[in-house]
Amino acid sequence: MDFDTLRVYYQRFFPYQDVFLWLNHDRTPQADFLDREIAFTIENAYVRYQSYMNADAFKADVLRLMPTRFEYGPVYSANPRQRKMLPKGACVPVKKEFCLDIDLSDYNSVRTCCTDTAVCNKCWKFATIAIEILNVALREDFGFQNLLWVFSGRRGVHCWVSDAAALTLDEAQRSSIAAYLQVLGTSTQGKLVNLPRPFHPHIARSFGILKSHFKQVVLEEQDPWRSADQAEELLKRLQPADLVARLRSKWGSKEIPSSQRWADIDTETRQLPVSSGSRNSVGDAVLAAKQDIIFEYLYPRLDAAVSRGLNHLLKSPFVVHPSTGKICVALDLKKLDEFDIDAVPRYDAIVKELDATNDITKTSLRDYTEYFRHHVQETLPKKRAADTLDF
Amino acid sequence: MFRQKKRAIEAVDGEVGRHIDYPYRMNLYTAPPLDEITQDEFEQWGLDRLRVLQEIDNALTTKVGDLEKTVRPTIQKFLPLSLGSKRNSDKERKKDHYSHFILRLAFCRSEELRKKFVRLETELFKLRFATDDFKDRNEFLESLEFNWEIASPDEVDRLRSQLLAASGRNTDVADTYYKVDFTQVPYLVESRRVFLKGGKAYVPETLQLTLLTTEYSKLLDESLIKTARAIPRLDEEQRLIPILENLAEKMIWQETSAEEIGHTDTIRANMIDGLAAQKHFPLCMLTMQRKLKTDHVAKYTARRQYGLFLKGIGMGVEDALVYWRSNFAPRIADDKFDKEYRYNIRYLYGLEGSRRNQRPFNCIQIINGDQPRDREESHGCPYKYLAPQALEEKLQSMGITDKQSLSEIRSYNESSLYHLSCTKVYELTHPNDKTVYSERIMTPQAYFQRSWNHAKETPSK
Repeated sequence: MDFDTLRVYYQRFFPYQDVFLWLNHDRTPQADFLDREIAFTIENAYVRYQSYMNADAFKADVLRLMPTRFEYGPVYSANPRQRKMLPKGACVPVKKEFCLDIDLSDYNSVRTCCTDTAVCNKCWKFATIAIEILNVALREDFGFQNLLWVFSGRRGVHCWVSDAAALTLDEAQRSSIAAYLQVLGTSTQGKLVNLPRPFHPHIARSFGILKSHFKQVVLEEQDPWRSADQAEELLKRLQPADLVARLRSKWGSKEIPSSQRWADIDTETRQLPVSSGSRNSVGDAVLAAKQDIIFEYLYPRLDAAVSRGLNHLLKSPFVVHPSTGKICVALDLKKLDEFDIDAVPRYDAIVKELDATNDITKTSLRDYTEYFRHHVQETLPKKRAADTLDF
Repeated sequence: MFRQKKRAIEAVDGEVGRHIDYPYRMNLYTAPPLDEITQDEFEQWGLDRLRVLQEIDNALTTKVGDLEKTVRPTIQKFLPLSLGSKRNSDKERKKDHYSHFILRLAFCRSEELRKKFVRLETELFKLRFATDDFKDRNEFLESLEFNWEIASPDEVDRLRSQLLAASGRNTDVADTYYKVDFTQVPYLVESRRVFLKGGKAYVPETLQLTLLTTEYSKLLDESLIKTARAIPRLDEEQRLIPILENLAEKMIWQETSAEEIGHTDTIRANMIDGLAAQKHFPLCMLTMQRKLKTDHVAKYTARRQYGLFLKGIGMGVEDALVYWRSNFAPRIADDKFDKEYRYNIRYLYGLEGSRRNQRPFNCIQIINGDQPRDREESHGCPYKYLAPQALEEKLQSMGITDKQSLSEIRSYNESSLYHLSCTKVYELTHPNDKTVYSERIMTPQAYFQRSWNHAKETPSK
C-alpha cells in the first residue's frame, strides 16, 4: 500500500459525515455514535475501544493513525474510552446493527471459475443471488427496511440492518435470524441440505429465485459436472439406485455439458420400468433430489458468527481493502446487475483521476458515495415540521 | 394473571391465617406467598429447591440425553409435585411456591445469578409442563390471561397456504394463531417452525408452550430485578440475609454435598504423599501430586487447581508453603521460591492482592476449563483429556482391571459424563465403603471427604 496516496484518499474521499449520520441514526450526535466502538488495524497492532465526538474528530484520528482498515462495533452503555475507569458491568454493548457476511470462498465446493481468494464476474453472481434472497427475507419476513449492502473489498458482501428494532436485538434473537436464513448445514453434519417438505414459505420463495438463475449461473456458466469425474458429484446426490445406474452407463466417460446431464435425469426417470416402486414416489424422490441440488449449489452461505454477536466488529463501508486496494463501496441494489467486480474503484486509481481533473465530483467513486449519501438521508428521521418552516 | 382464590381457613395450630389456595399444579409465581413459615423451613425449602436446580444445571452442562429421566429422582426427593387431586398435594404446592420465592430473594442480586436462575427455573417449568396431565394443563392454560394478539379469521384465511407450509404439514391443524413479535420466539424462528411476515411470527396454538415459557422467563427476569431493588428495604441483615447469601454462594460454587459440610480435620504437609497412596485422591489430584513429586513441576493452572484442593481439604497456609517448597526442590531453589511462588500460594488463601477468599474448583469448572496442552501440564480432568488407551493403563495401575468396569467407564467418557466415571472409580477403589450417597461426586474435595470419612470410621487393624 502506498501510504501517501492512501492519505489523500482518507483526506479527500472518505465520506466521514455520511458515515457519522449513518452510525448515529440522527443528525445531532447521540450515544449511537458517541459511545460507539471504532477499532483500527495499524500494521500489526489492533487498537480497540476508540470513540469520537463527531465526524471531524474521527477524521483527524484516521489521518493521524493511517490505519490499514477500521471497523465498527457496538454502542456501549457508556463511553468505551472510559471503560477502565468505570465499575465492572457499567460499560457493556447495548446496541448494534444486525449484520450479515457472505464470503465467496465459502462457495469453493460449487464454483469452478475461481478458487480461494480469487473472484470473477461469473462467481460474483453467487453473491448477487445471495443478496436477492436475503434482502427479500429481511424485508418481508422480519419487517426491516433500513438495509445497506456493502462490497467487502475482495470476494464478499456485508449487509448492515439499521432499523431501530434491529439495533436492540439480543444475541439469541440475532442467532435466530441467522439460523432462519442459514439453510445449508455444514459438511461435518453429513447432508448439506436437509429441508422438510412442504417447504417453509421462506424456503419456497427462495427456491423460486434460485430456480430462475440455476440454468444460466450453474448449468451454463459454472458447468460443474462436465467431465465424467465431475459427473460423479451429481450422481452421488441422486436416487433411486437404478436411475443412477442408468445414467452412469448412458454417460460413460464422455465430457457432456452439465445442462445436458441435468436434462437426462428427467428423460431417464420417465423410462424407469413401472415396477420399480410406484411411479409417483420415484418421481417425487427425483424431484426432491434435484431441488436439494439447486439449494446446495446456489443458496446463500453465511458466516453466521458475524450475525450472532452483539459485539462483533465489521469493516467500515468505503475503507480501502488492504490487499486488493479496492474500496468497500456501498451497493445500490437497483444497479446490482450492472456491478462489475473488476471495475470497482481502487484508491490509487481515483486519486489519479482527481489529479487529472482536479474535480472531486468527477471520479469513478462518485456514484457510490452519492448512493450512500442518498441512502443515509432517506433513512434519517424526517425533520420536524417546525425545522422546515412547513406548516 | 391466573385465577387465584384466597380464603380464610380455620385455625391452624391456634392461629388464623390467610391461605393461598393452589388450584393448579403449575404455577407462574405471580403472587408472593403470604403465610408465615419458620426460619428453618425457609432455609430447608430454599436448599431443597436449589438441589433440584443444580441437578438440572449439571444435567444440562454434561449434555445428558434425557433430561427428565436424569433429574427425576432428585425432583422426587426434594421437590415432588404430584399429579391429580389437589387435596393431597397442597403441601407440595405450597413448598414449591415458597421455595421459588426464597430463591428469588437469594438470586436477584447479580446479573449472572439472575440469568442462571431464570434459565434453570424455565427448564424446571418446561419439565413440569411436559409431565402435567392433559386436563390439568389445559385448565391451567385457560386460567392465564396473556395479551397475545390473535390473528383474525380473515387473516388466517388469507394466509392459510403459507401458515400451513410453515407448520410443516399438508393438512389443516390449527385455526388459532397468535401474532407476536418474532423477537419473542427465537426458538421457533431459528427452526423455521412459524410463518413470519413483517416482523410478526404467527404461532399456532400447538406451539403455545414456547410462547408460555418465553413469557415466563420474561416475567421472572423482570420480577427479579424488582426484588433486587426491594432487598435493601427488608431490614433483614441479621436474620434472613445471611441465609440468602449462603444460598447464593452455593449456587455459584455448587457445594451442596452433605459430606463436605462440617469437615474440621487439619491436613499437614507431611501427610499428602501418604493420603495419595491411600487412595484418598481423585485421579486429577493424583496426577498433579505425582507430577509434582517426581518432576517437581506444577504449571499455573495446576498450581491453582491442586493448591485450592489442598486448601479445601483442610491444609493451612503454613503447611501449604512447606509442602510446595519441599516438592519444588531441588528444581526450584529456596530464594526463587520465595520470590515467585510464595505470593501465589498466599494469594490462594486470600492473604495477598485482592484478598479474595478463593474457592476450590468443582468438577464442572475443571471439566469445562482448559486441559493440558503438553506433558508438562498436569491440570484438568484426566477422564476428559486422556486417550481411552492411556486412561485404561492408568486405571489398571490403580487396580481396576475387570473388563466390565473399564468398559462402563469408557462409555461414560464417550457421553462426556466424566463425573460418573470418577464416581465409579471411587466405588471400585473403595469396595468396603457401604455408605449410600445421595449425590454423585461433583467436586474433588467430595471424593477426598468420602474416602477420608470412610477411613476414619474403619480403624485399621
